[in-house]
Amino acid sequence: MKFIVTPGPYQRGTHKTGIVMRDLLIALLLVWFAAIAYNFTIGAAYGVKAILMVVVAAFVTLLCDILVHAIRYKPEQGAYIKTLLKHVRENFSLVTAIIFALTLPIGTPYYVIVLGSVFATLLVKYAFGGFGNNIFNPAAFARIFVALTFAGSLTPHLGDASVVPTLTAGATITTAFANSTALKWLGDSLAGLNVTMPQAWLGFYSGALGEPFALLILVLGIALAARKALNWRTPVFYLGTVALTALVIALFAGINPLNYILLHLGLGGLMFGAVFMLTDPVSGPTSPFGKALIGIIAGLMTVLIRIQGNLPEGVVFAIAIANVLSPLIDRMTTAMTNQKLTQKWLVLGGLLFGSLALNGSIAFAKVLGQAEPSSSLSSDGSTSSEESSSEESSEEPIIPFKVLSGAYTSSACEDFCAEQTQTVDVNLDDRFAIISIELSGANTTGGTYTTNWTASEAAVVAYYESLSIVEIQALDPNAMPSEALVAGVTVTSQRLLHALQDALADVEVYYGNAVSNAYPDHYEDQTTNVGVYVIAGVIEAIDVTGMVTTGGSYATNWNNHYETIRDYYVGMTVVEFQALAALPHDSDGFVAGLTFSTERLFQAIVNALSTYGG
Amino acid sequence: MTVVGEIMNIFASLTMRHLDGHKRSTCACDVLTIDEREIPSVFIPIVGPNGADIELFVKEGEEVKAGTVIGRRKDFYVPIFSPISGTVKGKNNRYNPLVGRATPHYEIVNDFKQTPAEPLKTVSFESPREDIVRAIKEAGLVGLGGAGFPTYVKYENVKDIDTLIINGVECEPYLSTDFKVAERYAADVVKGAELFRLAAGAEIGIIAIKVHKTAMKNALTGALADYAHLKLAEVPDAYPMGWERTLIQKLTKRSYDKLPSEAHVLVNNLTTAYAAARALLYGEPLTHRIITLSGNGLKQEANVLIPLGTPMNLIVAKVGGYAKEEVTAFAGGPMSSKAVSDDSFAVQAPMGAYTVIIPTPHQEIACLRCGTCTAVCPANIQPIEIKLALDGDNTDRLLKLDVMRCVECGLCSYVCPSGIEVTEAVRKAKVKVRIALAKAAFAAKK
Repeated sequence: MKFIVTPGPYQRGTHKTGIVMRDLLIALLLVWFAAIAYNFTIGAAYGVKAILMVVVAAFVTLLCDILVHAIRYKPEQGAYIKTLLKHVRENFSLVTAIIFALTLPIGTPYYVIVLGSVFATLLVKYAFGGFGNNIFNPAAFARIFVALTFAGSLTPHLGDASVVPTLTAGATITTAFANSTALKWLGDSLAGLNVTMPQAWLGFYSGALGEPFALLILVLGIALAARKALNWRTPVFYLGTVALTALVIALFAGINPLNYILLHLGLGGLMFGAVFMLTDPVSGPTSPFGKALIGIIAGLMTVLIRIQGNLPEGVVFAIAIANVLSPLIDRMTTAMTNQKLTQKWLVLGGLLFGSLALNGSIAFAKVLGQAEPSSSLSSDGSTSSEESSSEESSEEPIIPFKVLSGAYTSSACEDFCAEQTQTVDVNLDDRFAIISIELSGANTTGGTYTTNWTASEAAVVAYYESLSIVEIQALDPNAMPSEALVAGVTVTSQRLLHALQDALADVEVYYGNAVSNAYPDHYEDQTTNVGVYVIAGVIEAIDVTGMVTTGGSYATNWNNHYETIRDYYVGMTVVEFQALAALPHDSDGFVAGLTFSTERLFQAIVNALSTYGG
Repeated sequence: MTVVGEIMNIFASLTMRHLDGHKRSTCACDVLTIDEREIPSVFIPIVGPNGADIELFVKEGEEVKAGTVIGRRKDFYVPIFSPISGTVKGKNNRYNPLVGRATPHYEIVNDFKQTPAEPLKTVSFESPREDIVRAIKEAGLVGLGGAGFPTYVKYENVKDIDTLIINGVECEPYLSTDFKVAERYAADVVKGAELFRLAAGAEIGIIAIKVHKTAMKNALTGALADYAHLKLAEVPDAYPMGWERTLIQKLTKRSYDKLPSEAHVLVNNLTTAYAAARALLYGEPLTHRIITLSGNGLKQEANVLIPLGTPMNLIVAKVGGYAKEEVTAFAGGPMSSKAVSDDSFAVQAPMGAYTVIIPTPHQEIACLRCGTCTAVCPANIQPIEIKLALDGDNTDRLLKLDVMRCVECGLCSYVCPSGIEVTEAVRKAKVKVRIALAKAAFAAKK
């Protein structure tokens, strides 16, 4: 009779880690199958790639598992194969691999998937001690790694963007929506963006592989929480914070709150991050309070990055920040779980209020600041600022970028007019388009001339305001178009034109363009047109039209940097500019990651100024 | 454990979990009585629990009767009675589970006559409170629910108690002695409850049992009919519903720091109430008790009525023996007991069960920091954080994590999905903390 003594208790529950991981795996497989099905509707190549992306990630991760085991193996642990199988079984790397692969868009090159999987498994996971010991979520950090290192390769299409109907100029709906309004992520509609709201939630659009299926992921999340495969607190507090913050922003910005909340929750992989990445127990806090807290922190950061940050999407970065804060949260949560409840509620409430206040006031300030025309160019070259500036000019005066003044004195004519001087101020914006023209000085001799002139003056001024500088310079005072010539008030009309031409006399306009050649499978030939305005040898303004970038994150980056790039040249003398032998790569005129666009702009200006001095 | 309850508990632990009870077979069958003639000797420890000294009143070779006071504990005033009549043969060293090592025992050889000694002085419901408390003291009553704490200490110098609770919850899996005692001796249980209520000076007395215990409920309800100040309450079928703190919280919604008396409540076990009635009203000291023998390591499961001091191996043999050569056995339930290394120990009053299971291979993998242990801990502490602090040898942090509040209920290890020995880690942490506190106290005295 032998009594085996082990430490108690001697009855154990049946809900094991293996079951938790199995449930997560099943949910991920369902999302993957949805992605495969959707991608096959675009084309066979897309469907196959969707399958292979996950297969490659899983395979590479398995190789990493084998490598680590080979390094760590000691014969006293047992038979090699047996310990290897145990090692693979107990490290659950497959789940990481699938999550990582599902965060990547269809166009991700295979080598990026391989590098990302290796980064996730070997570096973020095993270098910290393997399953259970990693501080950071391996899939999230690998996603950040590939986003920063291979930004250009993460396209949502396989070369020809036009094949995918739900993309807007090669950009995903999230990027397109983020840039669809003058203020980033502050719109309430998907109009004109090739994806409808129901589509956005059901997932019939192209983004990252697994992220579009917001509704499916939400349902799976509820099921997983009910099965205790994840803790409900984190996703509920995360989604709740994002929804409440979106509500407050919508109220401040005057946009439809329900739409705005649905867009925040449905786009950008937020559901996927909420259910599969933020809920990773290993990289989060252990206490129930901590799990709720990181939900709120991640919600705050997600919305903040979306409306104020550079990138179109903030979910993975918010998850990264939550991971970084988790050990500190654990450190500070030493009290018994039923103590300090008031304190805990105050912390949660305070952070939630912080999210509402911070994000709300940023949105509010941006909406107020919309009085300034933001000259953001979208990738098809159309300028959205002209509409907004003309709307705005009727509400409040716009400060002109440059004012050119001129005057002309017409000589007295026998009997019916004295010598009179017309002064004009031509108000120009930063592209030397005419904003307005102000007149001063006596206009006519009086009497019926004044009456006739006064009646038509506004229309004449409006006509000149609609012209470009070049067009006004080209007008002949002796052959004036009918819109500029008021019947019976010839002298005054001519005097006005002379005055305008005097104001614009020193302006030299040079036109030019540059073409970048097509990059097969990535983008077509692109042309940038510029008009360079020079006064007394100094570049005063540059007007840019034509294809600027390929779209997507390039467009966002370009829109944020365009003004500084252009303004680098404005103020330079032509001589100084021509002394630049080539585009300086370390100046404000150059933007990392937008090489082609910046060089093409530079080249266009070079071409325009090639006729200077001639 | 309802969805609403779970949501309200956003930060705090749920403090309980439903476990498989494994009680059906022992509840359903009759109590076995072992023929006295099959028990040649009984063994009474002459060292108290925690190694306390016992003053002995009889010497080797003397004759004793059933109920003779053979000694008295020196730490608390607890008389020790001989459970049988016979002769004190001599001292005998055997394993004592309540002390954790082998201790000397008196071997009393049975003369099978069960001659009763002088009965104890009795009291009635009308007796003054001090008399009732003194009678409890003289009866040597200790907590029969497993703790073995001298009962009279709770009632001496007691003040401002408004509720007395009789704990018939028996939340440990496998145990069904309280069930059987209530089923058979409901009238005495209720009488004992009333005695305790009077001793405490409490307005009301609540007998708490678990839901779905129909036989228990019916028996007690019938017996309670005549008592205006006593009532029955049913509590959820969860573990550790029978822990003092959890039970008081459930029944009265009150919490306390160290002792239930802070919450104006006193708690005693149901079998103790039964023993109190027999001793105080009928003058019978505690000489026998029912214990539950169960588990898949035994060929047969049963509740057995035996005299105190019977060696366990004898009882197991009478019940049919072990089912396998290698077993894990413990005196008590699977959650809060420690495994024994031999079965020759004698049954003592607080022992309510002997559970034997066939050990299954135990798999332990990495902690995934799910926090389920924290979410379920009845003491509201954070087992995983304690384990991590222990692994990191971080005594400073351990001192902040309220380690000493752990009652070793075993739920943390039970729920752990990775199969980690969390309870064992907290036990080790307690040792570390005790040492640290002792060192600090010693340094402070210098």
